[in-house]
Amino acid sequence: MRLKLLEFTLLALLAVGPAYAQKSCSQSIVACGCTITTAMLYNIDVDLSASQGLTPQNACIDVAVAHAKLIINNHAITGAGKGIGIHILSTGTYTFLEGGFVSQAVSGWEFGIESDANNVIIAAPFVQGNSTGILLKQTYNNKVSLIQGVSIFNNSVYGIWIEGGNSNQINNVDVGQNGIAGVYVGCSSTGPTGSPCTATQVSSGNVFYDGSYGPKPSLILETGSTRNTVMNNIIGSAFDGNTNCDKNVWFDNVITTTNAACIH
Amino acid sequence: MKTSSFGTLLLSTLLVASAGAQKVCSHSIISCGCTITTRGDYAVNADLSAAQGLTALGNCIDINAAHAKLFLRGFKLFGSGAGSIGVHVLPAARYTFIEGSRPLLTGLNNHSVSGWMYGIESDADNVIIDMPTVTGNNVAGVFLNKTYNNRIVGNGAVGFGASFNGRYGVWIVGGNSNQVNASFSEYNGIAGIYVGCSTTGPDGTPCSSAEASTGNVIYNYDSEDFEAPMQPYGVVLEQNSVRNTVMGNNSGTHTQFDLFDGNANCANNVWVANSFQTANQSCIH
Repeated sequence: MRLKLLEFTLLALLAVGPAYAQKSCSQSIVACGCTITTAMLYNIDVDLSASQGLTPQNACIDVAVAHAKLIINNHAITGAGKGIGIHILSTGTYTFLEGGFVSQAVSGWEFGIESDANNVIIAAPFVQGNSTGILLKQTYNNKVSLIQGVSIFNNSVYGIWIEGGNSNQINNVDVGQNGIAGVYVGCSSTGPTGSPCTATQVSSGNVFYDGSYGPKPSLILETGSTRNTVMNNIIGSAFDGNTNCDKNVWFDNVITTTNAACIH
Repeated sequence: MKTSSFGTLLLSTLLVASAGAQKVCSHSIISCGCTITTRGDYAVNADLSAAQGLTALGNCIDINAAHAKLFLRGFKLFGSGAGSIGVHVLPAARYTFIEGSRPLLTGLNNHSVSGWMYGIESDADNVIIDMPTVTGNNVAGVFLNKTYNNRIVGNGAVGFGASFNGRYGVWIVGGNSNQVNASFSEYNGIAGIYVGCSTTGPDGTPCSSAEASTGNVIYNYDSEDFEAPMQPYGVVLEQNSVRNTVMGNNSGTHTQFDLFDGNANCANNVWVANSFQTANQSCIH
């Protein structure tokens, strides 16, 4: 009986072991399933796929250290419907993610790119065919932009989702044909008819400028998301869930449809 | 004699008062010579000129309050050269946002901030400059003076970027953790982007170690000329400017170097994924 218990425990440990094992990325990344743990420059040197294995946190690449730089080098990062393509953990402050000039797509993930860290720069590649393209989760001072010709599109829920973030900046992006919204600022995973953020979670101080969002429901500031600025964008459909836009500033945008007269 | 002294004193007082007088900007700005002193939204609603008068500090618009937003809206800011600045973000004006880029709504596309010593100068931290066309300024299009976490962006290849300026398109002096991306510079006198203290390029006197610029990130930016006179340099990190990142940029056809690092073996600067033809060191990629 004791022997069987020992065997069982050993088997259980072996089974749990690999799920929590962390493989550190080398500076040349040639397969999914590694974690960046040193503040250095990393290059993705081949197309990556979820079938190569994932990190313990269910991502292709986790970034767990501050001041790392990751260059995608125009390679595809392909998921199988779950998990995260590139996950910048909360310790990955000051990460710089560079997509490249003519990039392949980050596609097929629940979240193509997720940042949980402050002061991150994402010069994004194509992000398409995910549930949500880019998620900024309770981040401060993240910056998302694209080079010309690159877009965030055909994601089934949101193109870009800012959930409880402050002072993030989204500019020079082309976001279109996403399921619920191109950009969603709020906590609901089902759009503005869902449950909004609580007062302690709300997003404020985010800035959106020089972007193109449309033609589907394109840029939404959820109820409670205030003190954001939306300026000089082309927006197919703009939505502000706050009465009289509260303290959000919508200015000099070219908008096809809006839900409120305070949106300009 | 007493009357004369009193008159002189009165005149001096009036002159000093006049020199120090500050005209506060209204939320609709229609002439040069005012200072933004309260957070809020301010829109330029006419072409502005130095001939309309300057601020007490000698500029077209000074910003001296945190969290102000200034919309240039496609209008021009004409300077008269000399020592004045088009828009000057003073040290107290943290979190200023200058929206100068492609004026979608007004349809004006020939907007520019030109003819100043610096088109736009920021001395404050956490400023966003969505760059208008900044051309034909005596020294630099945009000047970051010892700033932290400023962000200069443009709107891709729209307009003329930071071009045709006397020395630099964008000049960062003693700044830390600033970011420059999504625009372009061409036909400037010395360099498209210059990080350092010298007013004469990398041959001049560099910053001291205490003044040096670090942690700046320059990415997805173009610096390219197509005909003479071409810029001598594209992007320059001056000697002692270290721990900066230059990544994913396109720089070409300069008469000296497309990319230049004044530090031995690039020190701790990172140059990667750039497209260029000439560089002064093999550590530049």
